[in-house]
Amino acid sequence: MSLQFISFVEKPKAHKSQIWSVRWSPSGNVVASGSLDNEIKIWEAQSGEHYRTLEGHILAVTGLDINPTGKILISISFDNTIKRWDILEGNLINDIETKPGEVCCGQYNKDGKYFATASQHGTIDLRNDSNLEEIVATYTSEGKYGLCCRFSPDNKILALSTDNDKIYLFDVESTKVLHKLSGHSGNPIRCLDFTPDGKHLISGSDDETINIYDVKHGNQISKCTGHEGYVMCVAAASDNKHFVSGSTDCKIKLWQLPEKNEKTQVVDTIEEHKETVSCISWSPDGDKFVVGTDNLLLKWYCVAK
Amino acid sequence: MENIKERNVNDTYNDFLETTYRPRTWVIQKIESMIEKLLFDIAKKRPPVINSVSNIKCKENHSRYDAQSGIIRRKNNNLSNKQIQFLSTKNPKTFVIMIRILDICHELLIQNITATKRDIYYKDVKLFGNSQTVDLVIDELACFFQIPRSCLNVIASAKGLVAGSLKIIQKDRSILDCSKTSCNISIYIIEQNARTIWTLHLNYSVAKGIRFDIATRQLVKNLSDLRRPDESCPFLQILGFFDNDPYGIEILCVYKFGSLTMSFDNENLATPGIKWLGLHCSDWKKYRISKSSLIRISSADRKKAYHLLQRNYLQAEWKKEICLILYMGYKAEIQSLNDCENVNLLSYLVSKINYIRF
Repeated sequence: MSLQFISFVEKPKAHKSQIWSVRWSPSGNVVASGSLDNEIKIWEAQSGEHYRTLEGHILAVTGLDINPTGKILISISFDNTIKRWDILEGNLINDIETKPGEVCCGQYNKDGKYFATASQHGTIDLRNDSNLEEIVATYTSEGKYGLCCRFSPDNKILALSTDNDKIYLFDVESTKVLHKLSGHSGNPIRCLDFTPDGKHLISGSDDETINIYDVKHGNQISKCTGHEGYVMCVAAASDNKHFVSGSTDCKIKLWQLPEKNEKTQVVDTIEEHKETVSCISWSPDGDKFVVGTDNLLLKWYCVAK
Repeated sequence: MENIKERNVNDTYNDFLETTYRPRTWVIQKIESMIEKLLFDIAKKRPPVINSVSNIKCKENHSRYDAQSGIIRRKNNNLSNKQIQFLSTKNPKTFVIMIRILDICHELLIQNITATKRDIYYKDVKLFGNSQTVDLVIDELACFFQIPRSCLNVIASAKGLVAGSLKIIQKDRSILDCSKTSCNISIYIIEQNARTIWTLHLNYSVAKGIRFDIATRQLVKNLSDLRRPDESCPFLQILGFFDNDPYGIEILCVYKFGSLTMSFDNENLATPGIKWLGLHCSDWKKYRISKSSLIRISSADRKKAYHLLQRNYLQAEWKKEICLILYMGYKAEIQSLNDCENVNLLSYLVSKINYIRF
């Protein structure tokens, strides 16, 4: 089975500066992008038409996520606020002040009731979506600076990757550490993603490799080499067999997960970009994804056989 | 008598402290008044108290950014916020140190000779303890009297800080030839289209608690003010070249806006026209700085970066650079240019000058 990328929409100069986060809404109708230019833009998912701009942050937007209903967007920024927006109306619902370094990245859990944020001390705060200042649970690690946090598809595990080559898998209920993983030669691990069946965890790092871990047993089953730059983003495909990655080497790679003792293989590489590919997000129906680059470009691809 | 500005309808009220150059006799008289007040206290059987001002207490609040001048300036209120008690239990030496400094400055002014802060420190090492104490008291005295430090006949020592094809002819006609020294700052003079551009290259070593060198800041300020007789624009463009890290950016900010501790005299110390030549994050890719030269930022770097980002008056491009350092998590030193295959320091500078934007 060979897969290929086909691009169908392109948006040059989507922002005035580097695009650092992108998210295809779980409801499928819109794509949100956040940038170093302090703005968040909402785009129509099929055509790429600009729907609206969410203004309010006064410094770079470093992360964003959309809740499962597709109505609410939460954004994180270096201006030390968490902002919660109504996507369709375009207004700011909540504006939470945080301390510098308290919130480095964040993600909604799968039912949208909670929002997890990772901090510079390697901890995760689980916040109530209806009141983001209320922290219902805290997960602690010896990790230095949380770069990425991810919920497992069944909502039971929280994964945290850190600046010093550590991945912690926490049990959401009990806050206990289930597994402590490593494997990137001391380098920062910038991105994580679970496969939809929850069996595997994919990690991307500045050591230019991607690791695949078995979640239940807590061991590394594969190391994927091929990128020639920091791996900025990874995203698992809905078929549990593939994933995509973006890097500072300006390439997007499509990988096939190994069966049994095979090696993970690169199925296809997109080399057309001239700047870092910073962020990737799949559509909920799993056959398209959108990327954001340092070249102010948003590009939509679909994966065809 | 104090020089009180008259308020005109068209003038904006003077929110900020201004230092005024005062003649020797004025300063001598001020010092003698302070001592007279102490004698008066003693005669009235009151414990003597010296009224002064603190530059470090409430550092964040005693100054703010002034959009009109483009620098940080000391607010014109609450000036006398420090009382030095003779009978202090916390710091019994403070009073004595202050008297000794008043004494030394008084003597310098009477004899009309100058001394550096270091000279003063060596006059009584045991009493002062360290040279920072002397620095602090002299700056506080200058702030309290609202005069530049030089009016106390205390000059900044600038030996060995500047190098390059530059000769400075000083007031006493002696020539400071900077081509012979090796030091912290290099000045490159690059001719381009009949315009002379001076580039400042800082090669500092940042030790904890080091004070930003006042002499150098004064020199840069003076250079930036030079004008040809018939022109109103300064004929030198000052470009700052620092390490690509939060500490380097902080030094850039001190050159541009002035420091908080010396905010009462930033008009003479800050160079608001300075532009940031480099090292920038975009240089990593453009000049192919090898990844092995990039250093992971520490939590101290992050803390400093967050702190810098809170300054609302920084231009958007500077904020973006700080965000880039935080986001990517790497910093680079100027030395990393030596590790590049296709560029060296001078070619980098020449190339960058064409791209000055901020």
